[in-house]
Amino acid sequence: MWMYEKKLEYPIKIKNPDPRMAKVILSQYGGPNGEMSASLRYLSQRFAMPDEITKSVLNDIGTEELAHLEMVGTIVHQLTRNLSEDEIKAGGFADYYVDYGTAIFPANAAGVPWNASYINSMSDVIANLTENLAAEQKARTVYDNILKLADDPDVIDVIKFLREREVVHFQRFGEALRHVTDLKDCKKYY
Amino acid sequence: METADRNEMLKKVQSAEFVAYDLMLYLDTHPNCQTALTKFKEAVEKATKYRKEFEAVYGPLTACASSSAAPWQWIQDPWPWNRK
Repeated sequence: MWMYEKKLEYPIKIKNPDPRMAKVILSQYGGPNGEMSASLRYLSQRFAMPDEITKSVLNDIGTEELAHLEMVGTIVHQLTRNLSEDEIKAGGFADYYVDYGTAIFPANAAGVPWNASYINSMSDVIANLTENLAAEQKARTVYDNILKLADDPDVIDVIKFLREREVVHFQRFGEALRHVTDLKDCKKYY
Repeated sequence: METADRNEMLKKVQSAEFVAYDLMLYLDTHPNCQTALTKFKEAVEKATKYRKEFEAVYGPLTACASSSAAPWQWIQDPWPWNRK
């Protein structure tokens, strides 16, 4: 189970609204390489993990991804506070606003709703862990792209933190994969 | 107390707990690393101390830490996604 902690993993205090940036960052909420995909991918895959190392890695990284989902939602929420009609129109936000207002809806930057086909969960541990290594790199690339588009230091600071975590998760998944391959390569005695 | 003080105290909790969480992930794949185990224990002690200091002034970070006096403290603003 999970108990809620009334705090973010990393502080977010964004002073200036920016609906254009909000839409771009929303992709890390409900896009293919976003935090919803990441958390549900790992937390679903963990049931098929064979031993203590792989179970704990999937469980604990999956849990951190939930905290990142909350952070991305917070960024989008703070970037869309108190928007004027003009800001909505000028910021290219009207197409999102018409359906959702300034609520958080899991979709990518182009408005495509989140879909379970963004994740995979198989009984093959090597397939799962290899997918996760790619997933972390893809998420890292999306954060790199966001950093290229961002100019607000309040936003850049948080995105850099999230980007760095993808690198750490990649490292842990790599160690888990090596551990599993070592196990499988062991000579079997019957 | 000022919002700035609250943010500062919360930041101490967040950084101490971040250290603990990162060490936890490391220990998941290095369960026999004594150095990391010692550092993890230190990080948790530090985080617990900062958490208690924060909660004494600004209220509970978990529902279980909410006081028994009415009104129910847990629901009080700000929630984490609020800017203040």
